[in-house]
Amino acid sequence: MVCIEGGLDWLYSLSLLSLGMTLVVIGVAYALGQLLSNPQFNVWAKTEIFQVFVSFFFVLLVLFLSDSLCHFRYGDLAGLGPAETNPTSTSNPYAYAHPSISADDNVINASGKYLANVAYFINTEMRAARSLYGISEEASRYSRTPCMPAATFCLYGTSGYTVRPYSGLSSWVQILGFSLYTDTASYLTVLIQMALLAFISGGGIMAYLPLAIVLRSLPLMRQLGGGLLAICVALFLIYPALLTMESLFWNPYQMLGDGWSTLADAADSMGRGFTYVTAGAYAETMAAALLLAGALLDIAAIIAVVVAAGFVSAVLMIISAGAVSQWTLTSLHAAIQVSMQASSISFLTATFLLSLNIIAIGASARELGRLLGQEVDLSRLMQVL
Amino acid sequence: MKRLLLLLFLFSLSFAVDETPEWIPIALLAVIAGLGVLIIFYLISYVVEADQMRAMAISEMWQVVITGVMIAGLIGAQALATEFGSGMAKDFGAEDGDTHMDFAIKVTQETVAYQWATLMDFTNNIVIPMGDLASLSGNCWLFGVAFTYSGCSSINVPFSSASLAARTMAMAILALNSQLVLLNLASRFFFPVLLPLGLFLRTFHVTRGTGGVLIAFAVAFYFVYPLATIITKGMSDEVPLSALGIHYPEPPAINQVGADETWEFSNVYTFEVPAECDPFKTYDYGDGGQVEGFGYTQTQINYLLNENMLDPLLFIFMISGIFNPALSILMALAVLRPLTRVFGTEVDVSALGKVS
Repeated sequence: MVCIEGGLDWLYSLSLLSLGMTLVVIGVAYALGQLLSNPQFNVWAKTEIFQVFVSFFFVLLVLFLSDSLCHFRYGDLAGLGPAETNPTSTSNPYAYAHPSISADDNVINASGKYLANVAYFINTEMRAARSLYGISEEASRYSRTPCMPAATFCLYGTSGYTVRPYSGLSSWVQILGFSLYTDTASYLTVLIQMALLAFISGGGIMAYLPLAIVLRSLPLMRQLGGGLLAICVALFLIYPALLTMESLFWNPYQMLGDGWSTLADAADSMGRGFTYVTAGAYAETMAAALLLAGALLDIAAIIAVVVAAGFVSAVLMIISAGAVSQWTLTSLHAAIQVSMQASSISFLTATFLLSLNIIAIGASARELGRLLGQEVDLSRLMQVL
Repeated sequence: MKRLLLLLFLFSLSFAVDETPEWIPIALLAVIAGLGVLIIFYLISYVVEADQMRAMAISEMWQVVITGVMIAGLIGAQALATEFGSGMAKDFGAEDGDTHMDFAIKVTQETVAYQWATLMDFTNNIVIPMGDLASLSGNCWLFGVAFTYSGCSSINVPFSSASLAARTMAMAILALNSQLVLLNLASRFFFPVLLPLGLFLRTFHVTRGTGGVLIAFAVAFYFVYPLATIITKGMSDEVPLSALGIHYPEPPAINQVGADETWEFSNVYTFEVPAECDPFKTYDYGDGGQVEGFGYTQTQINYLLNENMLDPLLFIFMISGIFNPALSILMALAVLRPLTRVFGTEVDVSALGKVS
C-alpha cells in the first residue's frame, strides 16, 4: 500500500536515481558535442536537460501530493462545515456508520470508507426492494375460499367462491423488479469504484508510477512515460480527492432523511407476513367453529362456546394485528415510496457521480499528457466504466 | 465579440450582488495561489535561463487573469440567475425570496407528492378492487364432482390496462425522484463545492482540464437544469387541457378497500368483494343486448375507461413525470459540452447522456 509508513520512500530513491542516470547521459552527450564541435549534440543536451527538470519537478510534485493525501486528516476537512452535517461528528444523526469514518483517517482511507457506506446504503435498498417485491407478490397471490354456504355447515365442502383479494398488488411487482434491477446496477458500479480505488492506492500506483518515472527520463521513451505519468497522476490524485469531496458534501443517508429507518426495517422484513392474511384466517376459522358448535350443542353450550370462541378469536386477532412486524397496505405503500426514493438516490450517487469523476479524470489525464508529451485519451475507458 | 459583450454584461452585474456568495473566498484564494506559483515559476526561469519556461509562465499568467474574469462573470451570472430566475419563478407561482433553484426543487417536490397521492388513489380505488374482482371464480362440488367457473375473468382486460397505467405512473415518479435528487445534488454539491474547486484547479496548467469540467458541471446543473425544470413545468401547466378535450382526472368511483382492512365477523357470511360480479352468472346477452351478471361493475369499468379517468391520468404522468425530466436533463447536457470548451477543455459527455 502507498499510504503505509515509508511506502513512498523507494519511489523517492528511484526518482533520484533516474535523475542522476539521465543527467550522466546528457552530460556525456554535451561533452561529445564539445569534443566533436557538433552543435546538434549541444542543442539536444540543452533541450533534454530542461525536460529532465520538468520530469523531476513533476515527479516531486506527484510524490509530494501523494504523501500529502496519505497524511491529510479527514477530520480537518470535515471540520470546515457545520457540525450537523459533519460526517464524523457524533451530533450528526446521519454520520457515516457502515463503517464509520474517523477524523484521523487519511483521504485514501476515507474515500474507501465512503464508498463502503454508499455500498451499504444501496445494499439496504436492494434488500428492501427484494422484500417488498416478495410481500407484494405473496399478497397478490393470496387466495381465499370461504366456507359456503354457512347455513348448511359447509356441507358443500369447497363449493362457493374463490378470490385473490389483493391480486391488484401485482402492479407493484414489476415496478419493484425494475427498481431492483437499477439498484443492482448501482451496487455493481460502487463495487467497481471500490476495486478501482483499491487498485490505485494499492497496486496500480506501485506498478506504473516507477515505470513512468524511468520511461519519462529516457530520451526516446519520453512520450510513453509522460502518458503513463499523466494517467497515474489523474487516477491517484484526482479520483480520491473527488471522492473525498463527495463524501463531505453528498451524504445519501442525509438525503433520504427519516426514510432511512423505514428502509432499514423493510430490508430486514424478509419472511414477514401480511396482516390481512393472518387476521382474516383466524377470524374465519373461529366463525366456522362457532357455527358448527351452535348446530351440534344445546343452547347453554352455544352461549358458552360463543363466549369462548369470541374470546379466543379476539385474542388471536389482537395478537395478529398487534404483531408489529406484519405488513399492512398502508405500511407497504409507505415502504415502497421510501424504496423508490432510495433507488433514485442510489442511482445518482453511484452512477451519475461516477460518470462525473471519470470525465474529470479523463480531462485531467488529457491535459497532463499533452503537457508531458503524449496525448492520453481515456474516453474508451470512460465508456467501458 | 459576442462573448466579450456577454462577459462585460455579466461583469457589470457582478457588482449588483447583495451578499458575497460562499464560494468567492475560495475562488479568490485559488487565483492568489495560482499567481504565487507562477511568479516562482517565472523567477526560476530566469535562474536557469529557460526561455520556454518563461514563455509558459507568461502564458499561464494570462490564464490567471482569465480565471479572475470568469469569477466576475460567474458572480454576475449568479446575480442574473437569481434575479431573472426568481422573476420567472414568480410568474409560475414562486414565493418572495425563492431562488430559481429553491423553486425548481419545490415544484418537483409538489409534483412528486401530487403524483404519489394520485397513484395511491388509483391503486387503492381502482387497481386493487379491480384485481380482486377479476380474480373471482365460482366453485361447485357435489359428491366428488366439481367444476370451477371464472365468470369475472373478462375484467382482466381492463385490469391489465389499469395495472399498466399504475406501472407507468410509478415509472414517472421514479424519474421525478431522480430529478429531485439531481437538483439537490446541484444545489448542495455542484455549485457550492465543485465550482470553487474547479476554479482552483483551473488556475494550474496541469489541472486545467479537470477544473474546466467541474466548472462546466456546476454551471450547467446550477443554472440551466433548474431553469429548464421550471420552464418545462410551466409549459405543461399552460396547456389548456380542456381545449384539447382532456380533463383532469375525477375521483375514482369504485368502492375503496380500507387501507388496513381486515376481515370482519359481519362479513364472513357474505363475500366482501368491493364491487359486484357474480361468477356463476355467465354471459347472457338478452334481448336488449345487455350483459347480465356485471351490473354495477360494468358501469364502473366503463367509468374507468372513459375519457375522464385513465387518459388524463396518463397524459399528466407522461408529460410531467417522464417527458419533462427527460427534456430538462437533455437541455443541461446540451449546454454542458460547449461549456467545457468555454472553460478551457473539451470532454465527451456522451457517456453521461447514456446514463441519464
